Amino acid sequence: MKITFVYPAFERHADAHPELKAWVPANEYIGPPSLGIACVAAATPPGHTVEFIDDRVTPFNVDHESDLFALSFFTPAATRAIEIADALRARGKRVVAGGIFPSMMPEAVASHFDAVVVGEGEPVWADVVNDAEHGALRPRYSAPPADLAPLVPPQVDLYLGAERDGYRPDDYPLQISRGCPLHCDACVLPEYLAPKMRFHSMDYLTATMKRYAAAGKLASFTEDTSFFPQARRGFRELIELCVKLQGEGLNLRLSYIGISLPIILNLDPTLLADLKRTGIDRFYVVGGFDPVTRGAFGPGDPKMLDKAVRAIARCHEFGIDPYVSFLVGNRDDDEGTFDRMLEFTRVAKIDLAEFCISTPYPGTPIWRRYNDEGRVFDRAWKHYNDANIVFRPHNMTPERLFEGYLYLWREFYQGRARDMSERPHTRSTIQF
Amino acid sequence: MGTTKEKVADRVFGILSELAAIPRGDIRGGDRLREDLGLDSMQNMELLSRVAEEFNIDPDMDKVMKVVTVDEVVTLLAGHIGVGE
Ligand code: SF4
Repeated sequence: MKITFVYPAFERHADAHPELKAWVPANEYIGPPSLGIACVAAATPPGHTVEFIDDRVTPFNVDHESDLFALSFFTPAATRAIEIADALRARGKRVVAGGIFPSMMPEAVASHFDAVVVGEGEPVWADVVNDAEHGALRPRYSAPPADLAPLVPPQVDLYLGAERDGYRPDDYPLQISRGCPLHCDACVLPEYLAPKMRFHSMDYLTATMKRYAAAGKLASFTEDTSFFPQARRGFRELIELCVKLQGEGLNLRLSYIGISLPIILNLDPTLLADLKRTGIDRFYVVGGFDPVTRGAFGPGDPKMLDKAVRAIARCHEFGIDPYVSFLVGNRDDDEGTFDRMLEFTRVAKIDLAEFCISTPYPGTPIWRRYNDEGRVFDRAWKHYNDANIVFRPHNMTPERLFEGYLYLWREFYQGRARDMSERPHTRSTIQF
Repeated sequence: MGTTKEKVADRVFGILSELAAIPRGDIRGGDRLREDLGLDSMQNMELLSRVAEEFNIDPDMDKVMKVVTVDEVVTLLAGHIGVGE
């Protein structure tokens, strides 16, 4: 069979609000797809051919020919995914859904697809392909959390092959682990990937990093799991492995690591120094997600603000550039939050940032809570992209939250045009 | 050379002193991490992570999330090395 994986498009901030293009003097960065498709493609049984279409880059043509279409998507892309699936099925094609949104909202997609994979794809993918080959797809495949030990590395060549002029991501993600025992209220991962942490083998990570290095790409660590007691040793081993591979002449370059300010504030200084040794020069930090920044920006707690400022200072001290993604619209945020955030950027000397609306994504604790409280008023999934208000906030109107979100973008970038134009590419490029 | 439990306690008190910015001598075994020493959940995790790494142990996360006092941290970690009272 020929199997076509599709990564459906979704609206980004500047697609939804074109005025941002005039206000934000930064280069737009379109990042790589999440690793889901590359991981599942790698688990395809022998005897089939696979191809990949990134609908963001090459809009999917519904007349495309294939024996099986597999769409992997998160909430912002669900509207487009359903549109593609409906068009394909109208032509009699077989279409399978997988990824975060179908896993969290299988009932919302079931009628548009021949089959829905709930949970991680690898454990059931061979069954899906086999059933499709015999014309016997089942409506739902529920996957238990995958055993990571036998997994082959993700087939990232599919992604590299989809690059075009105007779309050449600098970095690609490296997944270190799956699962999380915590329950952060805006995060879907413990529900999607289960609470128990599982770790990829060093062979798996080495092979993936070597592939990125050969393609001249940087590797990014999308999540810092180093703060979990069971993960610290493995994380340090990974860092040592990176340094060793670099020492052996591999052109392995690392870009950023996803981390939070409370972690930065407390992280073992030796680990911070080790991270720096690998060449990591950026922390991707979400502000307004953890208790420290929520306390600082919501009620304006001076102690929390001081902690947040000290965490940013610690990045600067270690020569690591903090790129902050501010989430606004949390439980305690009020109309003063916007100026508190801006003041924080000034005091902490943050010079690259993005601004997002805290959104109750299906599968997260706040999705359930906001629904119970009757706050969710918009279920057009394409609006679930951090750039639209889909719920009634606690301490202001939806309109005020939206104005505040635009105000943050405009105020933060006002007067920075010359400074941004003089910076190197990586320090003047953001996803928006 | 103390027992393994004493060594664990020594490191727990040392790291706590750094994270909570409190002189080591002012920390008591019965102190509650959050209420008495002012640690937040990330600091709790950092404390456990550093000691677990040094002693090469993988504490059970469910138990990690439930520790309240300094003594409970020491007992949990020492228990994983196989050392009781
Ligand atoms: S945000 Fe990170 S720590 Fe929190 S639940 Fe999600 S994966 Fe776990």
